[in-house]
Amino acid sequence: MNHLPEAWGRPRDDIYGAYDHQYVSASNPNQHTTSPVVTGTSVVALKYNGGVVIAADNLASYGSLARFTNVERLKQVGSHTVVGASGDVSDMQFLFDEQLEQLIISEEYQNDGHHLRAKHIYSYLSRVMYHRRSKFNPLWNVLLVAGWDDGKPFLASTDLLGTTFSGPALASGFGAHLAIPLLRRVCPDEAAVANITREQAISVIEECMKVLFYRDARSMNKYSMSIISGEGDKVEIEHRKDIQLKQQSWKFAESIRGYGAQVV
Amino acid sequence: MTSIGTGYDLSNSVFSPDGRNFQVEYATKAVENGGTAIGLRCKDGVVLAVEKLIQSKLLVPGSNKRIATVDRHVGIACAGLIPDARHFVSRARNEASSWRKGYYGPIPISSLADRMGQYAQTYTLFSSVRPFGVTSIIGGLDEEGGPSLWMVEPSGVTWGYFGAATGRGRQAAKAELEKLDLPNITVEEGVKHAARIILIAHGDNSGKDKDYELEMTWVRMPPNGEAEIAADGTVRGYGRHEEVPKDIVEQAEKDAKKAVEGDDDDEKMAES
Amino acid sequence: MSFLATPSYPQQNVPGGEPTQRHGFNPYADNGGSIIGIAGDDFLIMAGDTRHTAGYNINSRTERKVYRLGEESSLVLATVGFGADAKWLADTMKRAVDVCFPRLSMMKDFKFQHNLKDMTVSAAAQFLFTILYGNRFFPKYAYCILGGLDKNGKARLFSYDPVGSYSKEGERRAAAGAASSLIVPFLDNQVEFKNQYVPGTQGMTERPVEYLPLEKVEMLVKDAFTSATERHIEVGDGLQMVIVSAQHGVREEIIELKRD
Repeated sequence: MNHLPEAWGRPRDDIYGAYDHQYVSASNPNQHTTSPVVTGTSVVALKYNGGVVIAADNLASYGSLARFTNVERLKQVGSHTVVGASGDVSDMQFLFDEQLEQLIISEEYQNDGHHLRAKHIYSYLSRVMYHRRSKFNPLWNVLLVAGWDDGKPFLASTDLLGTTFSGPALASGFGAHLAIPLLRRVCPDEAAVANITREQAISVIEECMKVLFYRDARSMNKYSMSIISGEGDKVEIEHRKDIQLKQQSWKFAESIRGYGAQVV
Repeated sequence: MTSIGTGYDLSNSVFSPDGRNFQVEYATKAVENGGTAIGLRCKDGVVLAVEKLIQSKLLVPGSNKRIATVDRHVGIACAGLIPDARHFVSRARNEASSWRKGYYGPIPISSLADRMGQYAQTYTLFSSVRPFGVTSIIGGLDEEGGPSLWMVEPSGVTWGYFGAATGRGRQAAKAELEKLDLPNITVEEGVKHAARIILIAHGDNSGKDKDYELEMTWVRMPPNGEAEIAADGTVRGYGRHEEVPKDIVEQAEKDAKKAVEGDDDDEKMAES
Repeated sequence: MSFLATPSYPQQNVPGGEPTQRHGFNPYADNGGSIIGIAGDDFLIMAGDTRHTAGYNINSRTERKVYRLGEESSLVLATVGFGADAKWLADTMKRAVDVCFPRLSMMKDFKFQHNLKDMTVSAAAQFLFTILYGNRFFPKYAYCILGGLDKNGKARLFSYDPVGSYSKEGERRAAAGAASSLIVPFLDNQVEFKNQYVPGTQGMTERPVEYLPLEKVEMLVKDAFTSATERHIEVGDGLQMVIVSAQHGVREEIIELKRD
């Protein structure tokens, strides 16, 4: 740092030429997020006959750089719900650590035995997302909300535009292309949920995480999974952290040019 | 109340020639008319309890709580003017919330107590406001100080305690609290003592013809919490402020009645 | 005066310079699907498919597009376009018409303010216009069809563009959404009898328009959607129909469409 504070934090004139002071002019239009910076990839989730399974890997990428490898992208919110986030990690942290945390603390002020359930959390999040997009200052995420609600499994999605939809099997990001077909094979519609067991759901989600690791260059082989199970009004949430992908097979890579041993 | 009529008690923030702020003293009087509130700092947590006098049979049992959750790990029990207490609690919640936003973690109980003390104190400085008619007992369990208990008075005085009592039965309650080995008892034992002390305090004052409800909460480590045992045996970690489960409160009340009535029997025997 | 000569914001696409490309935020999306409304004499059918899309992805096969605006009301709103705006419009209309929400919002609850009377169809129609046109400079990107029975039990139907323009007289049929260009000519022909002539008049006398019976309209709606499903990739999965009848009240039905 030299003796000219006004030059601090700006590109050096001798290398980059004179600084264009228009960039710091106060009359410039306000700039908001117009693209994500550090990002998380897919979240996948599937309902089964006693709950929902949701998973997301632990990677936060900076462009194509695998920047952070121990990021938790699933968050339990209250006693009934788990939210999974893909997209911008700082926006995710804002939502998880500030907004949702405060939401739950304020809800507990009343201490009346009532708790926010999955659809309440979902409604709140989708309104926040839509509100922010309407202010042209979006939170750059796709969120999956999984939970137990009113004696039934709950699963729904909202994104940076505030778009909302639900279904028995959902996946965000790359998973919308790669995992959804695998999930819909075992769960084509809401009626099929009744025939899927907890173990089946877990193994299908594991399979999806594996396929995503094979083909999504922004994914990693370590992930978290939450299993929300319920019976009547009772809910139990199991968090599995640092799950390593098992039984990988890279045989197929041998025949792909640039992947395996084959060089020409 | 020899000061009445001297004129020095009509405006807040005005000293009398002998150096007293009468409005603050009147506020303290308002507290002394409210139901007793106590707090016990045990080695693994904190117990808060209030004697909630039943103002009307038409009220729903369990309604109009006088112990409030301020953050996950903090509770406040109040004696005095309830509306003032509600505002005080609301301020405490804002302090706790803004601490989380600014420092990315739960507020230490000592910091919260300090801030609330300063807040109460500002209400003694201006003629346009009156002091809080409330004494609040702030209890919590944090990572730095372990279990801690503070009492904020209308003057802004904020002291830390092992056992704190305020409201109309405070004298009897204090006498009972002093008998306990508070630094070394557990929260479970604390609950039993609290029920007994509230019962004694209730019987000792003029409100005893009225029925009361025992409201009791504790702050202790949740089962999955990351606790540490300090050299002096106290628990460190972020506790959880919750209502004491109903069955435990009922049992504690039953035991308390037995113990207190037992005392009466002894006295009667001694008399005869 | 030099400060007037150049704008104070960074200039884009300066003549002779490199065109600057800014990656902006697009607040809209197209979530596909189609809706239809057909009015008979004393009944109307509002229908929409239940597919929700994003590009070539099917987000959901079970998202409804037709909303009843009150449990006791005959008012029905169908919206299609950008899903988030569409849902916002439906929620806003519901809150305005029904008593199911407490009066927290700026918008005063109609039913509370008017002695628990339902809003009339024409009032709701004008109200929807106000909302849409109120967002004229940041439009809600959704096409709406609003229907209901008037106080004489006659069916009324209104359709809107995203900034609110609508015909106060109402119409007999309306279609909007991804497959509207496929459905509109079909309804022109089958509901308004366009290009139909009275037999034996050598194409000189147009077939007179008449109200269709409920069964016929139901068939038309199903035909319209099965056909649209065949030809449009964003239409399919399920068909939600809300049938409002002066005689039989309101009935909702969901039937399957092809999922390919």
